[in-house]
Amino acid sequence: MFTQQTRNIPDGGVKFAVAPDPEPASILIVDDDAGMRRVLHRILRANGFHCLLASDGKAMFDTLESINVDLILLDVMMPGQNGFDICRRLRSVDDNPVPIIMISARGEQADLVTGLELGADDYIAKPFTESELLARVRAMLRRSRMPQAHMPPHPRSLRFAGWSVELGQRALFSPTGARVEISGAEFDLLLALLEHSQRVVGRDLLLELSRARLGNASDRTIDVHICRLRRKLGDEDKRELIRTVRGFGYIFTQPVEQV
Amino acid sequence: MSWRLPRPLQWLDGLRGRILQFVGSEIIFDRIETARMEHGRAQRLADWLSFADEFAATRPDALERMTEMWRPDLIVTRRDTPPARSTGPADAEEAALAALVVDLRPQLRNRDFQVSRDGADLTGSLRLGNGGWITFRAGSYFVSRPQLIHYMASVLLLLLCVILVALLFGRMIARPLGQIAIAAGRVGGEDVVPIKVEGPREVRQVAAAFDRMQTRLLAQVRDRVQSMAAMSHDLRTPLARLRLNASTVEDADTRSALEQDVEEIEGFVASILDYLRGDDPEPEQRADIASIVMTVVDEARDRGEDAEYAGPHRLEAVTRPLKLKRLVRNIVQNATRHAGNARVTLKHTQNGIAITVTDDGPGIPESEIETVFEPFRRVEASRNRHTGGSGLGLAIAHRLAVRLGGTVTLANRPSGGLEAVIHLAAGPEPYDTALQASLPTTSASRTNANIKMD
Repeated sequence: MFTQQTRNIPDGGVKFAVAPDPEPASILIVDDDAGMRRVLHRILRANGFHCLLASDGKAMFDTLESINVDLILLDVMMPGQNGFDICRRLRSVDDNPVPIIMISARGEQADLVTGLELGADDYIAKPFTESELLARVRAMLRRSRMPQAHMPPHPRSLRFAGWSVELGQRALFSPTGARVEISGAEFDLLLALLEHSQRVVGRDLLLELSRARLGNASDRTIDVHICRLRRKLGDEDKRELIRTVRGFGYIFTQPVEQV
Repeated sequence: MSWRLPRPLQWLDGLRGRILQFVGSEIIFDRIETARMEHGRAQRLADWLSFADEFAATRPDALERMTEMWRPDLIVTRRDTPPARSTGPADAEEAALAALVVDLRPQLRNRDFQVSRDGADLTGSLRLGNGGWITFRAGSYFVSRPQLIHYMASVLLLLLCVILVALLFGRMIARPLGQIAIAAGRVGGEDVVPIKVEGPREVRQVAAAFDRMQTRLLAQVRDRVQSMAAMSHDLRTPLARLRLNASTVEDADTRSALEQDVEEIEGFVASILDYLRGDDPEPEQRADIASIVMTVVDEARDRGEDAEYAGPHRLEAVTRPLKLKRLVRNIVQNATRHAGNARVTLKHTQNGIAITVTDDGPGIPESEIETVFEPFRRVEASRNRHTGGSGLGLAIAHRLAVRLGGTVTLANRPSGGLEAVIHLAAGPEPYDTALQASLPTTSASRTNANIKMD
């Protein structure tokens, strides 16, 4: 699903301005496949990240005993303890809030939901491109560094104007209880707007978020996605839920309730 | 069947045994019936003749009046001279009949009673007790029609009983067979079909054998699906490595060639998984069909393809949203891939929901339109791998449509291009924008009205 969205990425990936970060972010790669570990390591190192490698869950927990990492890239399909088991243990037993991006060969909705419900923060399906990987990693690191204002650690769903957003399933439900189909990029945009409801969200933040899903996102892409979101929310003509703040960004006008 | 026959007699319980029992009793019954009818006819003849014998002398026209009464069954005429005795060897059947009549009416004994067959009639003569002779002709004696009418009631009753018994047997066999047929029709649907084992032995055996076959078949299918899915998943890790490693290749041409190959293999793996996943269970739920169709069209547009959507922005129905999305996506991809464009419309009609995808491509030759839904089937013109895809897209679509309780049909448009129609039986109370507009209490509109921001 995600690979299709990034099919038209130009060679070499998207060039980001490298943040003036004194200390490079450390990323722990957990994968049983040596070739996969090697190539992930090479790409991330070449882009200025510090990498640690683990071939299974045990090695991963051993590493975490002594070192704090900024992000874990976790393969789902591993012999013995699989990615889901590790994710569950990390969150519920060790109570470790480190951001996790799951890597799966299955690319199925059920896997995605399972992973996210167990506390993973994002999900990337094999085979992904280099630029897609980098965009996801950067977006995740940026998000984890952003202070999460007033959000409790893990709300299960958000409600507004009769609508509800189920965070675990990444699903949107209309006031009549119908599931409304929404793309990954649209969901991310909606979530960003809801997390900062009744405050203006700048285009640059939305753009950054979109790049994690759509490698070639531009200002125009944001407008298109906002337009699609409005259409699905029945807000296309009224523009009352999502308002444009000319020259700056967008604002979600309704109060959002966390459940 | 709660009782059981002893083992050596068990074949009687079988279908063969039952038919044999039925035919045997029918033959015996037929024999008895024929004898009974012969006996009845002889009895009547004997009664009439003894009546004539007794009352022939009471009046001069007695015999004429009797004939009047019995015609055409019996005509009696007086003779004063003894009739000529039949010549030639005595027929055994005639002798037996004469003996039978005499046996039934002993007063006819020693009266030179003789009969002979004349076609269907019986003729004969008798010496009367008080002098003189009579000859008689029993018309159509050997035609059993009069007797048949006589026994019509019992024959009809018999017939009715036989029909009832036959129907009962038929039902005993047909009902379990019918259930097996229904079960057979449902095998391959969502889950295992339970089969009741009942009825005669052979039918019970069929049911049990069918059940075993179903179990074996499902196990085999599951095995294949699992190994194929595992294979496809396993391909994705080396594919991911290949794609990531390809990005380090210096030569741009080689790199893009490698990336294109990876993409092609990935497309193939994805469509095989999609095809196999058509069987995954998915609960029905209320979903916004319009959002599903719009999302699929948007995806295509994001890939730079020429796709358009026309229809409501909301249309709710009860369906399986993941399967429907895959179905619509496959049909739209088929259009954009082979025709270069796709116009998608969504309509809520009286008998359901119709999603129509039209394109301006070359269409499909009429001779192939029936077979394009078969897996790995490509229209001759699209054998080329670059536009051809995996050959699974329409097969996936067809399977998904069946699982959704709908249909997908293809037709060449008169003005050129192809038209694919996905038809879904509408779930209960479809909810569309028109309905929503007429509801004043929809929470979205209510909240919007309350909050005014400036």
